Amino acid sequence: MPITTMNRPPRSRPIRLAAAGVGLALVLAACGDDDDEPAAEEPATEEPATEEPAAEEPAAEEPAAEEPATDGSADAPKLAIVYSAEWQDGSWGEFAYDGANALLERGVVSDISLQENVPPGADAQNAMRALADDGFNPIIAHSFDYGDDVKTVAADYPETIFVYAGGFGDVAGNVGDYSQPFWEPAYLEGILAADVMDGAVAGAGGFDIPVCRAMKNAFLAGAQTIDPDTEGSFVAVGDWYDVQLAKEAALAQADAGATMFIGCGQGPTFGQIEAANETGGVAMGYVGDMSELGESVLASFTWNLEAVFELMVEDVVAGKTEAQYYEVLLGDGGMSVVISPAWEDRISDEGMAAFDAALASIEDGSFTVPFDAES
Amino acid sequence: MDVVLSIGTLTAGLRLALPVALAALGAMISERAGVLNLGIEGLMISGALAGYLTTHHLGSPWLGLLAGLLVGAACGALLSGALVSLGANQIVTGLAFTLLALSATSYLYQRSFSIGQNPPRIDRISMPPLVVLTLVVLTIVIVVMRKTLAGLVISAAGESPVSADALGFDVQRVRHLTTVAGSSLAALGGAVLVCGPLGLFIQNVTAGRGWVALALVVFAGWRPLPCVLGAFLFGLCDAVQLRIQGTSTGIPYEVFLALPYAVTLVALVIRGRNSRTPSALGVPFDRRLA
Repeated sequence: MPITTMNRPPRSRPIRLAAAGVGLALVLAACGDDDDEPAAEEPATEEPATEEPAAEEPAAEEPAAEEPATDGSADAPKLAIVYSAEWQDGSWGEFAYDGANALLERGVVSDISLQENVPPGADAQNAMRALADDGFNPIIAHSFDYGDDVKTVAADYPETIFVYAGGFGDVAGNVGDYSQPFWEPAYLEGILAADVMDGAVAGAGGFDIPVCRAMKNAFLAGAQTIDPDTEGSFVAVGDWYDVQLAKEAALAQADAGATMFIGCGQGPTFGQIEAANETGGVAMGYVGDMSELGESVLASFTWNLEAVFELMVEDVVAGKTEAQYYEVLLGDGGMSVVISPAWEDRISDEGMAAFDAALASIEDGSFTVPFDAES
Repeated sequence: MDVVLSIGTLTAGLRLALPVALAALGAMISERAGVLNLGIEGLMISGALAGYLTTHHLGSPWLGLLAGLLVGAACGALLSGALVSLGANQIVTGLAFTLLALSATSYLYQRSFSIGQNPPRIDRISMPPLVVLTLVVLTIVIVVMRKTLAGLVISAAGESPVSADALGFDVQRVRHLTTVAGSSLAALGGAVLVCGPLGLFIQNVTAGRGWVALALVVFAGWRPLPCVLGAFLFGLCDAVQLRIQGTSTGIPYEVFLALPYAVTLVALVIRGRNSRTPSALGVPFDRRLA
């Protein structure tokens, strides 16, 4: 019988300690690098970027002209965002990351702290307390799941504005909410989809929440302006990140005749795109230009979170401690529809005209896309 | 209802089952030898990232599967060092490894692609070869466990390590090898998920399939064929519930989401009477105390 390593008990304790130390060091190294990533972008703030938005967004410049605090000095507010996943998700997180960095580059805020992979609950509360103690204001919790945490922490910091992605006007005192009116671009995408494709509409979300239902119904309503007989279905995948399950959900809908897919959430959308690639349907990108993810991506919509966050900063600059429901609609530049280059020439003139007319009517306020989260 | 009762439902169940089946086989092997490896979820996500990055850089999804297998073996060696050599608490170590793997894969994934870049899709392997691969693995596991001396020794190490040791078998070595082999299979399951049905990677792409695999081992009574059949049943339940949701039933969708878990629970309760739990599962072996 050979002698095994278990016969050397005196070495086991140091080895365990060493193993624990190496593990801890790895974790700390990973966490440290994550936190450093946003800082790596900061040198860009040295450039005179404050001139650029004046040409692009004259309306957004007005507060900057009035408030010396937005000139990039140390007196400008410090903005913080906590997020439950990673910034580099090609979608929801990435637009928040970009929006915050754009405000920093323009000097609207003097500093930003972007913390990813912060799970809701005690971790999120600790993170937000530390940020509030460090003088960050506003503090944005970029997920619906942070609602309870934000309300708990906000009660102890009445001078700080806390905002979370509730999306239904959940406002009280220094706790605010910001809208996700994605049903507006979804309506426009529905017009394009029905122009290039016959068949039924398939909606999917991580869970069956009002915003997701409203997106599918608006998409269906847009499609029905081209083909009134278009029908639709909706499936809740049960997870925001399970791409395989989302793909299977979309394939199931395709088996039932669906050809036009609209997803709510990153995982459901990625799954739908994969399914549409296989079945010859068309899919829509969700929060971000996803045209590179497959030939089936007909259009996507982008989310101008820079404008949404700027409303929060304006409240802080104005000395307000009462938060509000921050909403920037499509007509105000909150979102825009991006048609994938591969599909530009395949949309008929009539379809493009219908799209342009609907967009114009939304922008001038003569038409409001209905929020229908029931059917 | 025709959509629910269709060939499409069966193939969807198969696609959902393959990664979980491989992971369950991996978990079963190490548990039969007495090592409770709760790092299966972490091994799956590690294999998934290894498969994705290798396929992305080298262009061959088969090399991606090989990379998943090798990364699984490396992680398995790390785990067996802690679980077998050091006799660390198997529950805590497995959970800690999964947490570390979830964070490490996110970190490495971020380092591989810059912000603003859509991670590219990779070439995929079609389903038939992956089904064959899974059946080959299943056959090998069945033959080894039932028809060879190695299988008997593995079972002995999990049932009565003292007896196995008294008969001259190196229990520690057996447990090392089964932990490494099981970890490789679990990581292969993650690589199959990414290099097969999906063709892409995102954070937490395995979405808890490792935990399902661990439950399936209990459900299967630590036997290989029921492990694979259980994975297929679980996948089939998911495929069915997704299709039922698309019809107008009036039943809350949460009921359908719970269907695979409810079926698994019922099966566990029924099978619980005939528990075949290895007697020494989760108990470190120390010759000095034998």
